Amino acid sequence: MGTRPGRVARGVAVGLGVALLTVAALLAGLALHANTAVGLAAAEHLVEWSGSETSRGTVRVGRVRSVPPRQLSLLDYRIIAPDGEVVIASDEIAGVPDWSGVLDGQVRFRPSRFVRARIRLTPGPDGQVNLVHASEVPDERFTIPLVFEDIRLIDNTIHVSLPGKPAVTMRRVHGRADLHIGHLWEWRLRDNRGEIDLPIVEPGFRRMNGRLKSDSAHPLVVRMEVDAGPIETSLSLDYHVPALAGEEGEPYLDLDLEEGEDEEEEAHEELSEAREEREEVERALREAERAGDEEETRELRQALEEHRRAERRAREQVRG
Amino acid sequence: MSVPILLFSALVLASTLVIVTSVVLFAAVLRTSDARWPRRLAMALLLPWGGLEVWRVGRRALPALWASSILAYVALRVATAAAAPFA
Repeated sequence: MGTRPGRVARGVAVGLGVALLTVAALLAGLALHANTAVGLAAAEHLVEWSGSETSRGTVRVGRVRSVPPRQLSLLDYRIIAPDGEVVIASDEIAGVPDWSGVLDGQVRFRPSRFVRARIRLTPGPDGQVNLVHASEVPDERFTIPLVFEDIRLIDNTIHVSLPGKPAVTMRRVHGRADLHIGHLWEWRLRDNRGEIDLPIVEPGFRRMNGRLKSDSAHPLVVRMEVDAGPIETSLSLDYHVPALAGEEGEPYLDLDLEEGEDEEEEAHEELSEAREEREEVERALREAERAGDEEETRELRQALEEHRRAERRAREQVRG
Repeated sequence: MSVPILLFSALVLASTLVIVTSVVLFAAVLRTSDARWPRRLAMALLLPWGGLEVWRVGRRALPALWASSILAYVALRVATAAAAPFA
């Protein structure tokens, strides 16, 4: 028989051991059963439920093919906006879990892929892009940001029908993108290529860079190089929603076709855009810090890091 | 909460219970058996045998919990396999 303090210490050690064993067994149980038929069915319901609860839209999944610890693969994924419009419908959305995201307070997938996604960019409430309105998380709802990095776009279609200009559709869009879904919603396109239906012609385009994001009076800013026969032009889309900046005026889409710029000029322009976006996030961060919104502050700090990296890349391009 | 989520949660909890009770029973066999060492280790590794030994010395709750958790797990696996086409 040991002494009383000895017995207490032994009891605490045994209790801790059993608790650790239980956590390990629970994780093992989850991993072992996640990809069974019932695990995939549960994942389908969980994705639909959590997506629809946190965002304004309704999330629908046709079938879940696999879940972590293997890659996440959602087939026939759709987001339906509150007005009933299907703002995104994708044959497959998939991503490999990046467990280091847990340290940043994110559920992160890298690399990822969006296969044959049909994306509609149309005006929603207050002029905001309906896709952003439907899928961003309102400030009053709790969320853990969902991040898809290094997305490979495969045969995507982007339909832009915003006030101010006739609708345009980009087809067979391939390239890279990043998507951040949380209180801050941001979709960044990198080096995309495809075809665009302009009046009369349907030329190919390449080097499409830009972004679609919440919390900005310019939710959509995109720039690309268009190959219209012998003429190479640069096309930029800039959607301005004055109401989002607290200003008066109707939302409108600027669509500019101009002669191709040389690479140096374009690199400078990208750097100035990256700088402006970084400053915008810095301003939002200061506001969130003043308001004492810890969750938003954390998200914006992460976004700021990403913008600083983008700015560094743009600066290197200017130097190079 | 939907039926697949409930079934999946029950399955994961049952498997957790199987793992935890198996490890605890393994340790209990090693501690309580008065058999010589190679035989004692064999009993611990062959849990049904070890469980009977622990049962025999009067500590019946643990082997009973272990056996029940396995039965519950098997029943849930059968139920989920049968329900899969309807999920």
